[in-house]
Amino acid sequence: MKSHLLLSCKLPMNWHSLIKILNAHRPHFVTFCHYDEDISTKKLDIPVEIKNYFPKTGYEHINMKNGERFTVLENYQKKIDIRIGATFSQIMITEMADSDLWRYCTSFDGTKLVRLDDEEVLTIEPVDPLKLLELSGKSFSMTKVTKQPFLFEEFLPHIIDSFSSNTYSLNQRKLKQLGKFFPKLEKVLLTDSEGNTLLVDSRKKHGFWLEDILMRKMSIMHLEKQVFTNVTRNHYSETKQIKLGVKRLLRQLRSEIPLVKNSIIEYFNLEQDLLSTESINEIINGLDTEDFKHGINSDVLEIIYRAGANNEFDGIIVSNDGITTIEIKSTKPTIEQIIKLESFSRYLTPIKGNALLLIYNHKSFFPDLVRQIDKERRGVSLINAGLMLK
Amino acid sequence: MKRLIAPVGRSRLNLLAALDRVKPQKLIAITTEENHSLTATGIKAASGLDNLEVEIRTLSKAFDIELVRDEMMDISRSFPMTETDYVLISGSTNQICYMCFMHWPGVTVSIKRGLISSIGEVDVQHSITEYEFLSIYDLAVVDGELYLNNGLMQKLFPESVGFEVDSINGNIKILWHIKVDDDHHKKSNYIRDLVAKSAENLGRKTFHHHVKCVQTFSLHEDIKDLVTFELGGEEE
Repeated sequence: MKSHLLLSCKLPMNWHSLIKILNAHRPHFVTFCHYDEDISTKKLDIPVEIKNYFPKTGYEHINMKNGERFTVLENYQKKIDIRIGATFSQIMITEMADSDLWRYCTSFDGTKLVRLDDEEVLTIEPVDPLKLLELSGKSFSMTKVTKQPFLFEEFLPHIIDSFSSNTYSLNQRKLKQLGKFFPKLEKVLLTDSEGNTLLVDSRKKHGFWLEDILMRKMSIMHLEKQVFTNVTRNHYSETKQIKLGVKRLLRQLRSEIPLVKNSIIEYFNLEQDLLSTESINEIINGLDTEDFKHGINSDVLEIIYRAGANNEFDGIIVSNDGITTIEIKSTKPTIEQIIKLESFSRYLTPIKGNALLLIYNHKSFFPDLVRQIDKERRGVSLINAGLMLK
Repeated sequence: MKRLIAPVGRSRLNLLAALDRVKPQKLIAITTEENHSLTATGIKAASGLDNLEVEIRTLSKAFDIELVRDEMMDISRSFPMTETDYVLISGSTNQICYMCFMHWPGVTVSIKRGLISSIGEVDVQHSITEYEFLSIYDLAVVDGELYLNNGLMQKLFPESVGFEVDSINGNIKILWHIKVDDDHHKKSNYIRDLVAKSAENLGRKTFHHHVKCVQTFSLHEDIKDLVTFELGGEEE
C-alpha cells in the first residue's frame, strides 16, 4: 500500500531533519501541516535537490489555523512522524486522521524508524552526511585524504625538529633532502621504502606541513570513515567568493607559493608583490570575474576560489554516525579558545559536529585543561601532536 | 481522582504553571536520566498543594526513541488512563510529550510563552515566586547569588551581579555587567558560554540574561533571544 506522510512543520523548514524523515519513510505523498497566521507569503518550496533525491514523492502544504484539512487519498496508509514540529499540531493531525493513522518517529541520527503504536522498528540506511549537507543547500569545498598507508617512521624522526622551543617544528632542509621538491608548489613528495607517497608543505610557517602529516595519519587511523582536510564553506555568490579570494591572496602575495604568486602577478601586470590597500581595492573593483575565470590557470583559480570561502575546519571525519571536526592549533589552546571552537563546531557551522578533536602543537601535556574540559562536559578531545608525530 | 501527567524537561516552570492551573490530586511526572534533582519534596513545596501525591518516573535516555517508546509503554501499564486525566504537552522533548498524549489522551494543557496555560480556548496567566522557583530547581541563594543545592554548593552564574524573578515573562532574569575596565572580549565570551550552557542544562525558557554594557556582542542563533542588552556608561 502507498503511504501518505503527515508532518507538523514550523517555518523556516528544518531541511536537515526533513531529509532524514523522507529517507526513512520514502513516502508517496507528504502533507506539511502548518499552524500559522499566513503561509502564503512564506518560503514553502521544496529545494529542487531534495525533490530530485526523492523523485516519487508528491507534496502539499496546508494551514490548520485556517481550518484547512489534508487531502484524503484512497488506498494510502496515513502515517505521522513526530520527529519534527510541535506537539499541539501533531495532536491536531492525529485527531484529524481519526483512528486510521500509524504513528512513527525517525531516530535523531536517521538510522531507525520506530513505530510508536506497535513494536515495529526498521533499520534505515542513512543519507551520507555530506550528501545531507548538500541537500540542505550548503555548499562546501574539501579535499579527501587518501587512505594509502605510509611508513611515517622512515621520515618523521628526521624531518621533525624537537630540540628547540616548546613546539615541534619542521626541519625544512632535511625534508627537501629526503624527497622530491616541487618549487612551484613549495611541496615535497616523500616516497617510503614500499613505494607509498606523501606530499608535505615545505614552509616552516603556517603549519601546513603539520596538517599534511596529521590528516594523513587520521585518515589511515579511521579506515572505515571518510576523512577530509581543508574544509571551507562556499559563499552563495561565486563572483563574491572569487573577489574575496583574490583580495586575500593579494594581501599576502609575498608569502604565496610561486605558482599562485606568478600567475597573479602576470594576470594583473603587477610590478611588485607588496601592494597597498588602495591598490588592492582598485584591482578588486575593476575585476571582471568571468574574464578572470577564463584567463587564469585552472589550478590557480581553484586555489583562489578556496581562499575566498569561509574557513571552517582543518579537517572532518565523516561516518554514518555523523561528523567529527578537527582543529590543529600551533600553540597551547586556552579554555576560552576551546569553548569558542566547540561552540562553532556544534552550533554555528552547518556541519554541526558531534565532537571536536583539538590537536595542539606543544611538547607539554595539559592535564588541568583536560580536567576542565571534562568538568564542563565539553565534547572536545585534546590531543598532543607529539603523540602522532612518533 | 484528578491526575496530571506531565513530561518534565529541563525547563520546570511549565510544570508549576500546569499544577497551578489543574490543581490535581496526583501528579505523574515523567522525566529523564539527564534531568537531575527533580524530587517529590521539591515539587510539593513549589506547588503549594499540601495533599498532592507525586509519582516520578525516569526514562533512561531521552533521545533513544525506541527505548523511550518501550519505557513509556511500561509506565502507562502502571498508571492506566482514567477519565479525569489532564496531560501537559509543553515540556521535555516532542517525542515524550506526544507519547504522553498517546497513552493518556485526556484534557491537554499547553503552556505558552509568558507562563500562560491553555486548556481548550481558555488561557490563564501564572506567576511564580522566588521560593517556588528555588524549590522546583533545588537551588539556594547565598549573598544574593544562585547556588546548586547539591552538597557541593556550586555557583550557577559566577560573575553575574544578581537575579530577579520576572513574573511577567515567567522566567528568571540573570543580571550581568560588563564594566568599562573589564576585558570586553573575554567577559562577553564567558557570558555567551554560560547562556548557552544554562539553556542546555536548565532549559531554554528558564533564564533570560540581561547584560549591561557599553557595547553589545554577537550571539549565535540558538541563544539570540535569551539575551537583552542595556547599553550605557558607568554609573557615577
